[in-house]
Amino acid sequence: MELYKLTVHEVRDLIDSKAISSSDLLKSILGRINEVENKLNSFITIDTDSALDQAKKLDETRPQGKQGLDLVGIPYGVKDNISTKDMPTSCASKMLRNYRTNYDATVVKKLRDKGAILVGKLNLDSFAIGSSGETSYFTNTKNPWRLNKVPGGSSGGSAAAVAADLIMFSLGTDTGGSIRQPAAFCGIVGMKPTYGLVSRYGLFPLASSLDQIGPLTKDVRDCAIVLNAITGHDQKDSSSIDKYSYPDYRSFLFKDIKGLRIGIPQELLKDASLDVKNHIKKAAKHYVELGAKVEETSFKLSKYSVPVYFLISSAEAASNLARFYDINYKSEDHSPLSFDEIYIKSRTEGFASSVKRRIMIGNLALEANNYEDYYLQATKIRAMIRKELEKLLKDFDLLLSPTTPSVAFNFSSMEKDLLNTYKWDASTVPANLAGLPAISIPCGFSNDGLPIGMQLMGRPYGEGTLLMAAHAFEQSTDYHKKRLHALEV
Amino acid sequence: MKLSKRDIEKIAYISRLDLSDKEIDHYRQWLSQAFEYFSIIKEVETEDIEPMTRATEKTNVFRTDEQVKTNKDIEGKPLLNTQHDGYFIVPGIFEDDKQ
Repeated sequence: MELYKLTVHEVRDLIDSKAISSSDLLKSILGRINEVENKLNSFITIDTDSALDQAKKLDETRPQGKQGLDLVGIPYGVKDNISTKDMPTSCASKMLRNYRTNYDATVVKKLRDKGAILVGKLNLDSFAIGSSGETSYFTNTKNPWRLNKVPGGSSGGSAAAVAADLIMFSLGTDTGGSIRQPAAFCGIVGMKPTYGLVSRYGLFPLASSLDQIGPLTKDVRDCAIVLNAITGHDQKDSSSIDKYSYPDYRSFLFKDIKGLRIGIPQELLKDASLDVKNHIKKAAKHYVELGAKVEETSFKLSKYSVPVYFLISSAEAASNLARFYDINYKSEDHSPLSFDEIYIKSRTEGFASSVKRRIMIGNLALEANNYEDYYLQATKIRAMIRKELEKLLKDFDLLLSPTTPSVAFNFSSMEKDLLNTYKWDASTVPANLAGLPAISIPCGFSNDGLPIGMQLMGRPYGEGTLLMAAHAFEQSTDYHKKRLHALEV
Repeated sequence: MKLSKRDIEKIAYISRLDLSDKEIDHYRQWLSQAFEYFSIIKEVETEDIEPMTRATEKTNVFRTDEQVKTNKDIEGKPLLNTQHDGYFIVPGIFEDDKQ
């Protein structure tokens, strides 16, 4: 049996019954990395020695079989825009290529405290801007299903590494779909939790009113396990919710979904490919068979969500990224230059063109003559979008849609028609704008064998209902178990 | 929205980016197109709508006014390797300090 192929909950039983040790599991994972990572490029940094050391220590002293110890000895990876004290944090950028933080992000600290083993830092679109995984300063991550296809982005490395069994789970970040879209492209589970549910302390911010950290896993049960580990109030993040009783997310699994009301906004289906459309319809039918009440519905403001998202996220990105220049994040010696010259030179040389483009959009939207027509107008429509979604989610427990209108595309195809590809985020951005939770799970394969993802979006703090519905679907299908990788050929 | 070369130069300066003539021309065309697409939002009637700038309803966050231990013993010390009594030693900024 290849241990790397198993899920977190499957290996848990093996470790707890002493059938295997944490070191056995880690060695299997490292062997797999050694075998296929050179084809995938999903990592930016791998720290084998430290991981082996941790596994050895856990094997010597491990506490077992108790609640809360689900992740003891489980190897995982973190998107490289989340701070880790023992590995560099580059944001896949030239600007921060040598940067090291001196502390752990809260999510990393939580996982460290729970005994999970950090194997490495995962590739992303530079500064988490992009949805194809092609803008990293280091290298392009490939889609394990087809190496000429993109893994999606911006959490492309986080998705590809889990899909190819290089780690047991990963953390990604989602500002407009950056967890869910690569999860869909790579045929795994990805969740963007409710805004404020997971601390962002230690995350390099892109758009602070939209960003959220979340899990990418091999199945829904693992998603619940990882969510349990990373949620909770954190005084260090002012957006973190307090006075909330965090449930055990595993308690929502294995539930009957009879009577669950699911709405399908027609606007989110209309631009989908025929393949994708058919599989969403099939999934809807499947939910009916499971006892849910499924109805078509309408999300009327849907056509504004993408421009509203791009204006707001770019404006926030322009101010968040203003901090980056070589005096704060020193990567080169510019000593004869003035402050302003260093500032401009290091940003011009240190930012990828995709990052510059977002900064330019943001500053143009915030510029005095445009502020009211674009930025302010976008924030008002954002309020209207939230209101409409709140109303829809009174009529329905969940909204079902494709995660993406098409399956993973070829490298370099996005740049050719950038504006059109922005529109592909129509299903994912509403959850960020309204602060709602959403999950992407595998729901079938296209005619040419690439995974298709479906999205379930729920009410604030409705992660439990999402997991319940996603798990019920997963339990009665086997899409999540298929691994027809290009890597095995 | 039709943007001029001057508009782009201004935004590039605000963004602290140095663009070549070729890049300026590229951004002029691309941003004009992008903002033309974004202009669709102008058709929405928003007169009585309050803008939404964050996704939670929190208005302010204060922590309790209690003393907390500062993180003086930073593990690994990856950024600066010179510490004295729990503080970082940095180069002096006045002439007298520069010895």
